[in-house]
Amino acid sequence: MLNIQLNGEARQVDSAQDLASLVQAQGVKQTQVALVLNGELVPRHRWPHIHIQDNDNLELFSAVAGG
Amino acid sequence: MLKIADTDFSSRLFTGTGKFASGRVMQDAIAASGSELVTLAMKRVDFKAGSDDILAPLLSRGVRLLPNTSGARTAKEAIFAAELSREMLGTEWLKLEIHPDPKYLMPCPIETFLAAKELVSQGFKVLPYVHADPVLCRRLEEIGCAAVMPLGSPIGSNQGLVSREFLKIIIEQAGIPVVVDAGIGAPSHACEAMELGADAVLVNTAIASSADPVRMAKAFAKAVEIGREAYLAGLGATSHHAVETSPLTGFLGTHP
Repeated sequence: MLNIQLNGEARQVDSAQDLASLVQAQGVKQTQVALVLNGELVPRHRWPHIHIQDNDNLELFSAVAGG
Repeated sequence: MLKIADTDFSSRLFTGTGKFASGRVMQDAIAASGSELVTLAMKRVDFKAGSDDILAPLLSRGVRLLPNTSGARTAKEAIFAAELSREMLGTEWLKLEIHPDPKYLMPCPIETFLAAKELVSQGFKVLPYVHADPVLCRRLEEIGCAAVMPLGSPIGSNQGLVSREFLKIIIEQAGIPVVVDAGIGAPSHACEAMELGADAVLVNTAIASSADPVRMAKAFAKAVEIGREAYLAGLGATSHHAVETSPLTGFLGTHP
């Protein structure tokens, strides 16, 4: 298992997991979120090709109401 | 018809999606407003709170999304937010707003200019939220912004067009659309902005915080149309003293 931070919370994830499956497991619409890995925006098309590393810091952003 | 960055808009009322009591009320109010461009913010997903899907109903209505960079305090943060929004929503349209001061939410002209320049070069359709500064608006036009969005008064303050005289100068000088954003608190304020020759207005708080947002959205839609018609018709000149509307000679006062 790997220890990561996801939106500021400590999580443990399977070491074989890629970013696409991790996003999918969060129950969010993949087409409506943006993913930042260790401070870098990762385009959606690259998610399946990037495996999670120990101590990764992931942030998922979505659209919310605003003016 | 209003055209911003090669997109036509038949409604000159743009709306924000914030502060509504519920997603349903927001959707109904936007439908009632006739708005074809709506602003959105971005946030880290809160897995515990869950979230309404605000996008699907908006997209099904065919409205264009205008994500904002609210929360950014520097050009660097705003550029990052813009890249997030493009990845998230697949749009290059952006309401660029950088306001480091939480009390008045005054937009920082320096950071906004720097961010706008970079984002235009990256292909974004940049609509910067700015103070009603005619010089800044011209500079933002020169570097390729799609429109400028000068404020009427502080965000959410409902004070109306405190910046009226400067808005007039901006409108007079602008070669790109001028969208009066922020502070419009009543349909009369929106009407006034349109009478001055604004190309559109952006309204959020005044609709969202009304006791009846759907009805208020309709009122704003009418006010914007009326103001636009009055602008096209051409307002009469103002004068400090009275100018008679009836003949004053040859009647009661003139008999011997």
